[in-house]
Amino acid sequence: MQTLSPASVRFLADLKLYLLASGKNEQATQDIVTELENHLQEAEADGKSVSAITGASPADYMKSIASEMTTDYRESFWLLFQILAGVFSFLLFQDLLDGPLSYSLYFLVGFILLISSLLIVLSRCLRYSATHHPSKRPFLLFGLSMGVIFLLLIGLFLTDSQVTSPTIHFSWLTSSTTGLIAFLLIGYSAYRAKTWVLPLGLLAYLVPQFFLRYQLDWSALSAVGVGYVCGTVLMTGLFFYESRSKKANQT
Amino acid sequence: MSSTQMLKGILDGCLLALIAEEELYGYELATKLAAYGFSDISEGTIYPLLMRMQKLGWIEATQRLSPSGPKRKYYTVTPDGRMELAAFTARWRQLSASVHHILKEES
Repeated sequence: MQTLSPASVRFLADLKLYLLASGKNEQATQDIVTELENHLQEAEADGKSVSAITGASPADYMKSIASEMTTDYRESFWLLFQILAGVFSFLLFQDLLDGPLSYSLYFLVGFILLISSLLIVLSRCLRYSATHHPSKRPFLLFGLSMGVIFLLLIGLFLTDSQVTSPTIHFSWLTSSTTGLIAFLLIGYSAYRAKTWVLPLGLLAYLVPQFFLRYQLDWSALSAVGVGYVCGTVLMTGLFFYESRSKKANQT
Repeated sequence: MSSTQMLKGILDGCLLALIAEEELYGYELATKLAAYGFSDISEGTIYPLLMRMQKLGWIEATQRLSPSGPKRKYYTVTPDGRMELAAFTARWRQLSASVHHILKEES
């Protein structure tokens, strides 16, 4: 089978990104991408270019495909939940190292709203970058939005103790049970997503901290610093290793 | 009005008619449309239409290996699709006769 031109490969990658970022079902997205890939293979063999398939505007073509696909709210919700749980788990396990868990309603609602906003901005930027080439605008917008949301998150942490709102206090037993459930959930999400970056990164973040704080009597701040470096290095390494393995399996 | 705009409403019927004749996959459909004179429309136009017709239950798709190798999605018309094709044919004949009549009168 002949290989596709770079223009066609790019179009298919953009289409996949656009559909997934629009909340379309992963299997349905893969089906249409495969069908168009087969079409492009034959079209290019007959001397046609990708524009003969998409027309003058690939962006409009992507939109026309997306408009015929139903949005998979269940899958979108599950993805959002997994990302929220993944981000929150770092906070939860960090807090578990300090003692029983305790969260104010103000903090929980603020945290969920800010992370959800971040994901919505990310989804919009991915859709924009898939349909507009070459453009730095989505990344600039995402960078700016991320900066604002990050500042708001810091504000949330700082103001949490000063704002009066109902607070949920967990006992040691419920804290440990919550931690166990969270870890099992992360393991299950990793198994479903076929990537172990998050659970292993989380372990690399927490285990050194636990050892440094409770065996070597390091301060919490220094231990967090070491945990942060270990977690970041392992997650980055694993991400590139898994990406390379996936590419090798595809070829 | 461009021929592409005029075609929008009738492409569904043309695709149904082609698939009703024989089981076809995407590229074959696009090639056949071009051979019948629909060369102005971009080939990819057929896929959103095929998706919609599948949702409406007019056509069905089955994946299987093609004689040349890769797996392909072959489309067939369902009983509902045949009914829609009959309705489309009747609508088109009436519309075509009316337009033809007007154009003849004008000339």
